Amino acid sequence: MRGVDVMLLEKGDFCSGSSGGNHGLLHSGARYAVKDPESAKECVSESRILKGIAWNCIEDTGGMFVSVGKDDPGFADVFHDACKATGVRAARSTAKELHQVERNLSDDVADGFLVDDAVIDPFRLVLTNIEDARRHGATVRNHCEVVSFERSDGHIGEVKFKDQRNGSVGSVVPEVVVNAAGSSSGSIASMVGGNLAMTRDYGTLVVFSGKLVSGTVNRLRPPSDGDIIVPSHTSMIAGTTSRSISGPSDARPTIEDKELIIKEVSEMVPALRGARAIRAYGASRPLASGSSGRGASRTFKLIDHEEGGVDNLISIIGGKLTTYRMMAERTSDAVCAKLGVRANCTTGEEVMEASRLDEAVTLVSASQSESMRRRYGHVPSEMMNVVPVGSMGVQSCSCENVMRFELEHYASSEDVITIADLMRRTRAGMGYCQGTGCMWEMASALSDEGDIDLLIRDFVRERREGSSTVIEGDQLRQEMFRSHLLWPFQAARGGEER
Amino acid sequence: MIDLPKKEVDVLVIGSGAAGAISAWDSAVKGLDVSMIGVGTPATEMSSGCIRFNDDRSVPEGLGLDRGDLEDAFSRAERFLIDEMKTSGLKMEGARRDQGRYYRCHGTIVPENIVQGPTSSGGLDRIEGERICVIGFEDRTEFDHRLFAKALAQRSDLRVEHIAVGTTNGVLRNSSVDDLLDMFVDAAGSASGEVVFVPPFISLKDIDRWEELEKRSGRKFAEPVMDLGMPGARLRDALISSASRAGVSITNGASIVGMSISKGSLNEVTVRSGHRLQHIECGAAVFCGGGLVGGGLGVSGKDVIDPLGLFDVRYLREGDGIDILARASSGGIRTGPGLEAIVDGEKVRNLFVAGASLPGMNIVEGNGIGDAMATALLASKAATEASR
Repeated sequence: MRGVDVMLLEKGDFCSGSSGGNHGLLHSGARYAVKDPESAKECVSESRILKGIAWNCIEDTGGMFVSVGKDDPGFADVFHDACKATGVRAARSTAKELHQVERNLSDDVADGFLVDDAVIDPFRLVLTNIEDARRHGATVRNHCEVVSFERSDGHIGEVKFKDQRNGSVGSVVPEVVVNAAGSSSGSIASMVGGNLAMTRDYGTLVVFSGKLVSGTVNRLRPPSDGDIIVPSHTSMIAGTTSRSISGPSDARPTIEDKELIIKEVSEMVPALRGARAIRAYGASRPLASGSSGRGASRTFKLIDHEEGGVDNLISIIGGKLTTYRMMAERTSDAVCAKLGVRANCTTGEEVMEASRLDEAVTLVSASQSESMRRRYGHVPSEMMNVVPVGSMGVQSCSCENVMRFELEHYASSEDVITIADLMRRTRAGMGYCQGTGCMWEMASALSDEGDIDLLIRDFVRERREGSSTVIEGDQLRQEMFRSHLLWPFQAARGGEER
Repeated sequence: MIDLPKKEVDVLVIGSGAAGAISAWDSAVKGLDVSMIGVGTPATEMSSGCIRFNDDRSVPEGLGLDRGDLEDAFSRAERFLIDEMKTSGLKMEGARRDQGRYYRCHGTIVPENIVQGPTSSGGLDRIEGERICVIGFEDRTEFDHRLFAKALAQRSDLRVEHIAVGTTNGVLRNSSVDDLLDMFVDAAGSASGEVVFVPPFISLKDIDRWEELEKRSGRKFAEPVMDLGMPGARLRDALISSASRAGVSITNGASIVGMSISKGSLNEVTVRSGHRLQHIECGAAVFCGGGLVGGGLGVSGKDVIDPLGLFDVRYLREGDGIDILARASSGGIRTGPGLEAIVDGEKVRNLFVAGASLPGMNIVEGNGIGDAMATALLASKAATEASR
């Protein structure tokens, strides 16, 4: 948008790391007001901007902070003052008023505040950005991993990357390199001999089938484990935990994490105990500050590696989804300064292309367009080109109400090579059956792209990573059923993984 | 709730999958008054309809069953499959393989045959020829002919082509089986393949149509196994049909809500179907409710449980990761050496358990329908004796 020729490389799929591993909360800032006022102020301004430029990714649900019986009653005043000081809107409310908003709140809820929290779909947000970046001329490639940097005299020359689609190695000679690799930022920096002080902090989230809350419900107490539940599409997400880990490979949810989250969150919403936990997931938060855990600031840090001996590398670490645009603005400011580009950043004002109202003449049923509006923000006209004439099309995923033509549409994109790629774009396979029926549909839509056995195996592995450690009750039975259905398919591979 | 008049039977069979049906049939052909109740979709119906009788008897023997009795039950179950299923309109074909004997409905192809290709299938499911054609309905996704053709080509050296017929749902809705048969004969005529794969569209007792299809087109037809596929449903239909012919009274959509047991003996079973409640006094009962997949057993947390809260259940409490699945499925209802159910640590003399409800017999574990049917014959023999 500022006239710079840009290439973006992503080793996996878009949003397959930390950006997708959160609860999709668009922070009002209230969560950080007391302990991290800097982050709180960032959230206030950024959430307002995002509700404009990326409206199709946001459900403006509102939210609340509630104190439960045993909580310190003095914290409410501290919280209220901190919100005022940071500009976070928080309306003090009685238990009765809060119950009118959320009918499933515990009777033990004493009082609390209504805040401007909202829900953001991180996958949709990242994809909308990618589309918009492409429209402005950027070259964006997923499934391309950087394999080497050529460096001489403190300057990065040629950058080589491997395309996972065919194993071919491409190269580019950039003037400036931006390292925004999340949890892998440290290893990217060390590939060029740079150094990044970064701590990794892991948080677990649990997805439940169905919705018991209409907006976010937060615990009115200092940030702690299990203090939030967020409604998300057809499900709700409760979290989180916080523990430091040594590398991305330790990032796995545990049964203890899950039990702790259910115990804590059900103090606010007791019916959660009876809800069906579908899966647990998480991601490591790359934190910019030296400390880790709850005490560490969630703000971000921009590092120019010139002092460290690399004159054209900039790293951006820390931060959070709500402030991603601000982080990007600061980063591109630094890039433009290096390049001598004078144009201003306009990402805060321009509505992203995919967020522009583009309502197709509706060929689909009313319930289907409602589902598409929930998932995409609107009914995208370009998707309608593949709807069979005179037909409403065939439903592929009944949990999330995804139609075959939606799968076909995304499967035809060069970005999409795995079933999980297709799932992130359409939500097929995210429901309680975790792709039992629709993974075949997705494999089928993708089948020109690759090995079917491999597609299915990768997807089953990906889904099981999230469920295997925490699975129990009805969901365990569901998984048994799925194993049963998979058996004829897997037997063909010599009986492994029965 | 409406109370129906009390009913008296010699043997009550609970569960109407493969184990329940053969058990009820067996007691009925011996002249007993037998009722069978079932609810939902049994695992048999969800299966590939292929039946394996394992040579390895370690799982049923681990239940304490006598080896000689077991051998007898296995050979009776095999005979039942061949003779009785034929009378019910299902042509079962069997062959010896490395670890046992395998049976399947005529025309059904299982994935192993695709992987092993045309030459190494030991007589069963042989794909004769090197060129294959897959025909599918254009806009029906339950059988995706393109995907299937692709998988087939990837797994073997076969040359595979695919053809679509019937471009709209309307054509299918308004077509009779004979119209479809004509469509497939036409499509097969334009194929170069020697073997033609089609979605399952010919129903039970239509061996004649199947043969007509092959005769008119001059090609060999086969239908692949699919999730929730027709072969499993056909097998179940044939089993139910055999039980019915033997005089078994069958109630579907009914589940047990209570069992009255005193002094180690089952006296009465309470059955509920919608708003109707019925007390059934029985001489003996056989529980073939299935395992986790069939729905006879449930899961609470990570423990296998019996939803009735009646039986003693064997389970492994601890587990991690993917092991949980295997461990959960190895649980089941605890029985005595003659398959008598154990309730509160005591054997019940006239209540027997068979099939996937037994430990280690869950279909996910892989012991499958063959072993389930053999244990069901042992249970029905015991129930027949106990009811007298």
